[in-house]
Amino acid sequence: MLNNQLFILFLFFSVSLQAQSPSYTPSKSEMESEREFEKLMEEQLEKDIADLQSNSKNNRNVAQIYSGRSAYIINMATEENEYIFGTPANEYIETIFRNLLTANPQFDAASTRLFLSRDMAPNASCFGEGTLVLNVGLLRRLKNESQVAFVLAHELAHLQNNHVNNAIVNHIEVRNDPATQKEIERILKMKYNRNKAGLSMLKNINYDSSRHSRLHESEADEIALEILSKAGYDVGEAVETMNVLHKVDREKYTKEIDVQREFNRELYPFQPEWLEDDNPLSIFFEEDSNEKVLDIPEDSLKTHPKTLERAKKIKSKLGDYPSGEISLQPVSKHDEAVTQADFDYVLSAYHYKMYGYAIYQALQLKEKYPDHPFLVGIVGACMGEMVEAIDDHEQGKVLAHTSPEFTDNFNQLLTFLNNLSMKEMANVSYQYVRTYRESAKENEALAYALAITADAKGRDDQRNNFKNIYKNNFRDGYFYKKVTRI
Amino acid sequence: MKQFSNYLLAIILIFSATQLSAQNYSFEHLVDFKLLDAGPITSKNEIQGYYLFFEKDKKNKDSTEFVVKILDQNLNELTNKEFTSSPNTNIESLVFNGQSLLLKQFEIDGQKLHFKTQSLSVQGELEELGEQTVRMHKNSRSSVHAVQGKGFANIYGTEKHKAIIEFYSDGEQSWRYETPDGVNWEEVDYITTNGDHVIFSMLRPSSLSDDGDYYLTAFDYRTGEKAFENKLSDFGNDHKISRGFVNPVQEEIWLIGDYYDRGESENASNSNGIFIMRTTFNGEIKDTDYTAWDDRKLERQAQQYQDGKLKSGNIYMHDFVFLNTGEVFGVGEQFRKAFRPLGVLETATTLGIYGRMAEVHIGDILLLKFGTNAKLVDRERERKPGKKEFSNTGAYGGVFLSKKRIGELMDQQGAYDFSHLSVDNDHSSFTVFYLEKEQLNRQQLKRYNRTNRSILRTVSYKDKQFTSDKFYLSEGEGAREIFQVLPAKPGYVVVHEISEDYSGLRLEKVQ
Repeated sequence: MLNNQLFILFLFFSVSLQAQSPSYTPSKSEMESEREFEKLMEEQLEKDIADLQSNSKNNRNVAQIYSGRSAYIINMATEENEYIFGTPANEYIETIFRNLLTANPQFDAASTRLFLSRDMAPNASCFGEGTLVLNVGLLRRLKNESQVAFVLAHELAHLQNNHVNNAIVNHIEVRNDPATQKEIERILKMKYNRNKAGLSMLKNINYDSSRHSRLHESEADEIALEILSKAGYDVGEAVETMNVLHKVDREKYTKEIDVQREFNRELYPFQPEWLEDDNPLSIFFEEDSNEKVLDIPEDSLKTHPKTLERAKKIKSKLGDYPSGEISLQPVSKHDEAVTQADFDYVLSAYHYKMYGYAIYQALQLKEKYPDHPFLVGIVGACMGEMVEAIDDHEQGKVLAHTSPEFTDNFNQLLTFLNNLSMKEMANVSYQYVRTYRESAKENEALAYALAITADAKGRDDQRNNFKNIYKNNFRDGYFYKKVTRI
Repeated sequence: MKQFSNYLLAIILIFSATQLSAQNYSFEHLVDFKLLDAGPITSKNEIQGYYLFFEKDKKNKDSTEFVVKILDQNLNELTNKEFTSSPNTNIESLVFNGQSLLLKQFEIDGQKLHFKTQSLSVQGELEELGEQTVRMHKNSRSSVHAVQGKGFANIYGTEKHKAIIEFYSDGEQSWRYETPDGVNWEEVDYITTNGDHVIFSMLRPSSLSDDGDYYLTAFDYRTGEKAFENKLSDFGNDHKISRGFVNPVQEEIWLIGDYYDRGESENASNSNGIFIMRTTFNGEIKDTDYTAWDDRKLERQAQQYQDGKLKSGNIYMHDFVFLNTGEVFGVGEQFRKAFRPLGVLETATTLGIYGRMAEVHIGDILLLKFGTNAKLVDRERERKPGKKEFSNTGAYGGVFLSKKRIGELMDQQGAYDFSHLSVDNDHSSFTVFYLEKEQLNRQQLKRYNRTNRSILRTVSYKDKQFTSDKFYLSEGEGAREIFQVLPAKPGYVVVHEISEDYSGLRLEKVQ
C-alpha cells in the first residue's frame, strides 16, 4: 500500500517536473519541399507581373521590385535559415491560419502561406504576394489563440486589399514622376543646404507614405475583425492585442539574475572584480528619466499612442460582431506554442550572435525552468563562441557593452561577460556546463556547449567525446554543422 | 503589423538602390552627413569617451553646420550638438576635467590660425569661452588641457613668440597669463595640478645662452597669481626638455629630454643621450640622471654611432608610465635621418626648390625600464619587420634640421608607428599600441592572394611579464578593412571597421 502511495507520489512529482521543464528541440530550419515552394513563388511572380498589364517604365520597375521580393523570400526560407519549420508552434499557428482561410473563401488558400520567423522583433508582416510572416518575438507575447488569430487576420486584410502591392506601385510612381526626378536632380546639384533640402524631401515622402500606412492599418484592423469573426474567434481580443503591443517594449521576464551565484563554481570561484565597472562620463550627463528597457531588436512596435488609438477604434466596432470563442484549439496548445516561442527567442538571440542578450534571456527562462539543459547549453554555447570571438578580436561584434538604456541587471551581466579575459571566459564556461555533463545526451545545445567549451579550455579528449555524443544522438540537430567544425 | 509599411519601404529602397539607380535618380544620396573626425575624450590620461565630428550641411560660402556627437567609453551616444561655424573648422581636442567638457576648434585661414574654445554643458549646450587668431609660424603651438576638478588650461603661442595661458572654470575665463614685456620669447607646457596649483614648465631666454632656461611655474588655479617659480638648472642650451610627466606613485615630476656637450645647441648638434630630471611638485630638483646613447642597455645599432654620439639615429620618447610597483617605463621609437639619393635629382630638376635630400627611417619600438631614481635598468625591443620611410620633413627634406626637431615634427604629423599607451586604473599594468605594415614578398603575396596587411600590435606588461597581441587591420581587397584605431578604456582598443558584413565603431579586448 505504502509502495503504491509512494509510486503515485513519485508519478505526480515526475509529471510536475515535466510540466515545469518543457522539452525543447531547436528547429533545424529546413523546408521540406524547397523545390515546390520555389516553383510556387515563380508562378506567383509571373502572375503578379502579368497583372501589371502594360509594359510601361513604371511597371517594369515595379516588376523588378516584385522579382527582388520573390528572391528575398525564397532566400530567407531556404538559404538563410530565417524561418522555423516542423515544431508544435508551427502546427498551432498553421491551424489558426487555415481556420481563418477556410472561413474566408475570398483568399486563395493554395497560394497563401504563413512562416514562423526567428525574428526577435515583436512583429508580423505581409509581403503582398501571398506570404505572411509571424515573428517568434511577437508570438511569445500573445495571450491566447484569438490574439494570434487577430494578428494573422490583420496581415490577411493587408493581402485582401492589396496594400503592399499598391504601396510598391505608389512608391515607384512617386519616384519616377518627372517632378520628383527634377527635384532630386536639383537637390543633388545644390552647393549649399543640400542635406536640408534632401531631408525635407524625404520627410514629405515619408509623411505621405506614413499617412497611407496609417489609413491602411486602420482599414486592415476593421477587415481583420470580420475575418476573425467569420472564423468564430473572439473579436474582443483584438483590443487586448493592442494592449499587449502597447506594453511590448517592456521585457517579458524581469527576474533579478544573481550573476555571482549563477557562475560561481567550486573549481573556479567567482571573482568580485568581474563585476567592477565605472563610466564617469555617463555620470556627467543627466540620466534619462524614462523607464529603462532592454535592447529589443529594431522594428519593434514603438507606436504607443497609435496602438492605443487603434484599440479605441477597434473597440467602437466590436458591437458589429457576435462574440466568439477565445480558443478553438485546446488552451494547452497555445501555452505550448508560446513556451516554444520563448525558447526559440533565446535560440534566435544566439542565432543572430547577440550573445549577451541570449545569455540574459536564457537565464531569465532558467529562473522559470531551473537547470533546463537547453538553457544551460545556450549559456555555455554563447560563452564558448565568445572565446573564439575574443581570439579573433571580434567580441565587440557579438557582445554588447553596458549602456544607460539597459536595466541594471542586464548591465551587470554585460559587465561580467566583458570583464572576462579569453582564458577566464574559457574556464568559466567550461566549469559552468561541466556541472551538467551527465545530461549531454538529453539535449543537443548542452552537448554542443560541452564540446565547444572543452575545446576552448584545450581539453581535446573531452571535446572529442562530446562531439561524438552530439553526432550519435543529434544527427539532424541545429548545431550539427557547427559541431563538426570544432 | 504596424511597422510593416516601413519594413516594406526598406525593401523597396534596397531594390531601388541596387537595380534602378542606373536609369533614375533615387532617394538614397539625398542626405549625406560626412564624418570629418573622431577622437577620444580624455581625463587624467584615461579615456572617458569619444567625439564624432560631422559636417551636416554647407549653409553658404562662409558657414557650415556641424554636429558633434559625444559617446561614453562604451560607445553609447550620450548627446549631440549642432553648431554653425566657418567651413574650414576642425576640432583640435575635446577634454573632460571630471566635471565638464571643453571643445577647442581651429580653422586655418591662409597664414592665420583661428581658435575657438567652447564649454559643452550637461544639457549639450555649447557656450563660447574665447576666440584667438594668431599668425602661423614655425613654432606655432596650441593645446588645451583638462585640469582635474579645477578647470581648463588653454595654451597657445603668438607670432611674436609670446605664450598665452587662458584658464577657464565654471564656464568662463577666470584668469589669463601672457609673457611679460621685456621677455623676448617664451614656450609653455602644462605639467599637472597639485592642491591649489596648476603647474607648467616654461622656457624663456637665458642671459647665458641662445636657447633659454627652464622653469617650473605654478599658478593659483582660482586667481592666476604666481605661487612659485623655480629655475630648473642653469644647464641652458646643453639640455632640451621635451616632455614632462607626473609620477603619481612617488608624487614627483619627471622632466625628460636630450643633453648635449656644453656649449652646443640642440638646433645644430646631435645629442649625447637622454636625461631625466626629478622634481617635487614645488619645483625643487631632487636629482638628474643621464643615459648616454652608447649605454649598453640602449643597444643602438653600431653604425649610428660616431665617437659616442648618435651619428644619424635617435629615439623619440612618446610616453612614460609609472606603475604602482615602483617600476617606470618609457616608450620610445627609433628613427634615423638618412640621405635620399633621389633628392639630388629632384633638387637639380627643380632648381633646388623641391628636392628632399633627406628622409627619415622609422625603426623599432623600445620599452625602456627605469628605476625609481630614473636610472635606466633594462630595455625591451619590439622589432618591426622593416623600416618605414617618412620624407615630409619640411624644406629640402629637413636636411638642415636637428634630429631632435625632426622627431618633434614627425610627432606633430603623426608619422610614427606608435599609436598610444593605455594604463590600467590601478596602475598595475599597461599596454603599448603601435602599427606595423606586413612585409611579405611578391611570391608570398601571390600565394596568399592578397596585399600586405596593416597590423595593430600590442605589448602588454603585467605581473612582470610582457605579452603581445596583434590585430589585422586590413586583409586586402574585398576583405575586412579597418581603417581607424582609437585609444580605449584599459584593456581595450576601439576599431572603426567597414567591411561587407560590418560597419561601425566597436570596442575590442586586448589579450
